[in-house]
Amino acid sequence: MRESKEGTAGLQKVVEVGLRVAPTAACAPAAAAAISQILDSRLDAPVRIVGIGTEGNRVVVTLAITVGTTTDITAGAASARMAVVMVADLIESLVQYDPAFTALPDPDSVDAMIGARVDEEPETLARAMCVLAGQA
Amino acid sequence: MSATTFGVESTSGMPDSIEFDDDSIVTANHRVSRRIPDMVVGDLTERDILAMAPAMVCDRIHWSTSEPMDLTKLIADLPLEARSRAWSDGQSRIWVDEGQGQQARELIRQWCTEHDVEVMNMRVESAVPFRDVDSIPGDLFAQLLLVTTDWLYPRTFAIRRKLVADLELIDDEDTRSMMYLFISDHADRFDADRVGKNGTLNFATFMLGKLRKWPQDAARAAWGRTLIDDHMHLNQAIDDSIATLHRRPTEFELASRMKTSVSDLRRRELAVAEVSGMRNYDSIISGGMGEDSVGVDAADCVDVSRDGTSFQVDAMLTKAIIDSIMTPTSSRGISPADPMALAAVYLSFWGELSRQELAAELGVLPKTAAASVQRVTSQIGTAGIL
Repeated sequence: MRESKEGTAGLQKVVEVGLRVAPTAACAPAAAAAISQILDSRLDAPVRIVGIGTEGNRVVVTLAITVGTTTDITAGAASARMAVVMVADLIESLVQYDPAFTALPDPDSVDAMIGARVDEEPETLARAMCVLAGQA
Repeated sequence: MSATTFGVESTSGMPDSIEFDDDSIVTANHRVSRRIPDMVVGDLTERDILAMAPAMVCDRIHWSTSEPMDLTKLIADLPLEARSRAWSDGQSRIWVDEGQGQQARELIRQWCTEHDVEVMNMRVESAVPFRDVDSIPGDLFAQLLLVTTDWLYPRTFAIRRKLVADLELIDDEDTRSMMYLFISDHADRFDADRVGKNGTLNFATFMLGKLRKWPQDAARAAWGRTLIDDHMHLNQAIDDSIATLHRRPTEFELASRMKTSVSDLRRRELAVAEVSGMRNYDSIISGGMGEDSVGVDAADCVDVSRDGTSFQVDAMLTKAIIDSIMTPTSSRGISPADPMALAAVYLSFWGELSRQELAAELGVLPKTAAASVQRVTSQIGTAGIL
């Protein structure tokens, strides 16, 4: 949920929000394509995949979006506002897959480990989601 | 006043004696500080004014009534000398000469019965200090309170911050008048003849000492002594653990530090959390809106857990939240895409932070953080999502 970032004033707390995208197993390939397209179009955006797993008949992908440092957030800095706009855009773009705020997964969980691996190699997202869709 | 020499214990690492200018003093913590000046009203010093109502030792009888009670008639009917003075808590108080407390209580009880006045929790405090400030002519005493408040108010920022942060329904603008009433209530207990190592205690110094415990006492009065003490000790134990372990303590470590069992620790934490939940009651959790809402109002037949975690409901709620955050509220000067609102709502409901923790996380006042959350939840409620 939070991490520390080295800035000019030393370590600053950074706020990240978790966004869960939960397509049904049947929609997983389409959802993977949509997520990949968004991530590709926003290479500089502070978004990362932090979890992939299943829940019931859904494949759940958790994205972490960095809103900014607490200083930027309380001051309403432009970068923090842009991050909020990006969260809104993500929700709008992925509306078919029930995007919802969620807590960030435990870094030691299996979902988080898969998510971290996929975040390093985003091209594996579709494959991972399809494999999990088969288990869902 | 000439230069003064103060003796300081050599074990503190300081010289055996230090000479200071007229206004310098050594505090109880061995810090050099400035003497707080005596208050002055017109040509009269605080000592002149308070000398008009010398300190006495009395027995005090105090009680509560369901309706405000005029004590003038009661005092006139009592066969012994009695005095009264209103404190801001609205309780009835009468002071009588030392040793007459029990007798006065029975007389007062009898009088109340005869006059059909319902009294509650009547009790006697023996040998308490009292000043009959009504005997001070004109508005001198009120002026003294005002001058003292004016002097103390700008110098007690941290105390006022804590008061506002800890207690609901108290705003910054309330604190000045509350401080005036606090000083008025405590004026009885000021002993102008008390002598310490820095000389005689003056009125503002005495009040400053009392004000340091004001937020804690006010919280105890509002939420109960046991609960506030538990809250304080829990936070203190967690802070101490973080300072030594550099991490949040486990339940076992916390219980050990508090010299209690884990089950007792859980019971205390639950009690504190329940009150914290009441203090930070929010419509997004209960589903109710406005002053008429009463707690959680889900019907028995609804599977709250399943309903609350369903993907569609979560998505709808998320959409409503982000729409609210993206909506400008020009009336309050908040522009669209409010990152503070997003961070506050997210950390409250998905980060599971209490209002106090949220405020600490964001480095703002609890009320500021709560206002951000409230703005979003109010808009969602207005939109009929909840």
